[in-house]
Amino acid sequence: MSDSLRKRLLVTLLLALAVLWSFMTLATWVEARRELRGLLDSHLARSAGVLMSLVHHELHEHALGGESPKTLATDVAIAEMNAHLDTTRKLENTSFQVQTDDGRYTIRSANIPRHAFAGAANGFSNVTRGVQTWRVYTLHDPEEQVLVRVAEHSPLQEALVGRLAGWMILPALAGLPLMALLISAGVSRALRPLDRLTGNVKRMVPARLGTLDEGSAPAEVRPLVTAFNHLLARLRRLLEDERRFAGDAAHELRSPLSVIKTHAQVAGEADAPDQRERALARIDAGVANAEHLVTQLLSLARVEADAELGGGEALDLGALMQQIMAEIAPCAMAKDIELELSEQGPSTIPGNRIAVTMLIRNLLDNAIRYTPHDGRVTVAVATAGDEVLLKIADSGPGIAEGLRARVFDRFYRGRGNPATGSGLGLSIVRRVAELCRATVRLGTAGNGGLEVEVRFPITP
Amino acid sequence: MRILLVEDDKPLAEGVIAGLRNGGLAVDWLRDAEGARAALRDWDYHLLLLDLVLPGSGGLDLLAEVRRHQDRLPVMILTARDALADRVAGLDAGADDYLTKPFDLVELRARIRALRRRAQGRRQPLLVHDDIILDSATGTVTRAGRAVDLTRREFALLEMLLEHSGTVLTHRGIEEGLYSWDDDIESNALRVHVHKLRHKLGKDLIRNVRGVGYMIERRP
Repeated sequence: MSDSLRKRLLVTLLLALAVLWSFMTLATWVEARRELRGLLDSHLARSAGVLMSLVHHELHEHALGGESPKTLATDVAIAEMNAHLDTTRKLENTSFQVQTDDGRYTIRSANIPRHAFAGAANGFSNVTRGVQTWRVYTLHDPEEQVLVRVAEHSPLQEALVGRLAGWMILPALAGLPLMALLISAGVSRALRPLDRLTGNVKRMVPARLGTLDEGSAPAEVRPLVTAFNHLLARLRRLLEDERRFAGDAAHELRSPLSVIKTHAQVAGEADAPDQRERALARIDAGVANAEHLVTQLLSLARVEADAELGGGEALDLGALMQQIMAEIAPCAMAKDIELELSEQGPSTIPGNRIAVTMLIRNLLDNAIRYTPHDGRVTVAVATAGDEVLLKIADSGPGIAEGLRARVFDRFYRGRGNPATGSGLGLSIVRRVAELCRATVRLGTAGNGGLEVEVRFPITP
Repeated sequence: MRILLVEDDKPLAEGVIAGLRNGGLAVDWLRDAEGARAALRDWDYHLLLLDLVLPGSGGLDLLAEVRRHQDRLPVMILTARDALADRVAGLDAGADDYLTKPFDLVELRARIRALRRRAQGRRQPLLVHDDIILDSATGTVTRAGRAVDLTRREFALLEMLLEHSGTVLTHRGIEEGLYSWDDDIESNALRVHVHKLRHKLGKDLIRNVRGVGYMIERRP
């Protein structure tokens, strides 16, 4: 049920309505019953009054005629009184009893039980005789010493009240399905903006991610629409980034391919063996370049996509550094570059071996690439507070301060630099640093070369 | 024909230079726009081959500058940017042609020949003088239907003179058109080439204006 707003609203509203109606019906019923009782009671009292005045009349008439009051119990009197009561209320089950205080004379209607009614001396009371309950009104005239009781069979009253309740509950019961329909239609209407939003989202394609109209969204949904629009904007930027990256990557790959193609044709046209040899060597170098670029592209794609690479095993940075420098040493020796590593203090950091290796590898590659013959590359690993500090300094040309932010951009290469690289190395470094929560800072080494400082946090 | 190549990718530039030299063209190569600016001031080039992505100011800026000063210099853009918008922007900035990397050397040379013809206002790919026919596309010369064997330089010299028939080309102008910076020019090299051409194609073909230059007479 919780999966549909429509159902939820429908059930809640109908339940609330049913409860409300029940209360209203109950309250009305109680009130109506009270009123009806009062009405019936007042009739009963009036009947008693009329009866009493009839008794008075008879008493006086006969007193004037010199007859004793015992003629009160004549059939004529009863018939008259009955007739009167009948005209007053065309109801059966109304009975009466007239009694003198001395108990000598008693008249009662035929349908009254044989037993005298007990009950209050004056006013209303309920009297139960066997299974029957009677509503009794007692009127006593102390002057004439006459007691009049009028009684009404209670089921009659109950039946009236019950019928009244029926009239009230039935329309409510019949109305519920109708209300269900109306509410359902209303809820559908209210949810229409959601359907519209759904349609708009469905129509979006990755190539054209628009924005949803926040103004036309209902207030309740607007925060969702706003959040969704923010997400869309981020996605757009991301996609735009990816598109540009793919374009740049293709463009970059084209360079070594152009070299390979051109020299392949030169080799094909060459008359002299030495020209052919030169062209073939260029082709070789071009293939190596393309290979390097592809490797770097894959590395970057990997560190960009895989947040897992930030994950932490305990890495001994000093040991890792030593290992990588041993691997890279032949390249340095080929250019007569002096490599030096100094370690100070424990250097265990949480990090992924593959990712951190990429970072170190790229920084060292750069250092050796840009350092001229007979230069020097020094690496220092040291503990500094709750960080491990890695410093790589070279004796190359360094990077001008104004360019230090840009060199982290993909495919950015230093201006007029003679070395060929993928232009991705520092992008990879930056991304790995992000994953390791490390910071990278470019500075100037003592000899004017570049000094790269990476600070790794020790705590995972 | 003297060409200035502005390209920051050294291996590629070397390939293009080798390919164009094979086609008898003299190519000077520069890496960046600043150098190219200076070279264009100091030398007469017949064609500028321009990469768009250059260190420093980009290729399009250089092109705009060239168009302000040297209206007639044919310019071909060589670039890896192959998006429609880039091609249109390049041509609209004043380039005469646009070739995307990687390209075929054969196509590059054919396009250069086409630009050269256009610059001289001719359509006919063959240069004809009496019974001598020079075909730039195949790099062959025939005289009275028979193939004549010429060296690359001889061919280039004959092509220049035929293109400008009726005009005296100065020694200096000819040397600039034939040799790039990298070529060693011996002092009498030009005289030797002219001598060889006269020997192979007839001694009256090339006329000497002593101390000034050479010309081939114009045929109606």
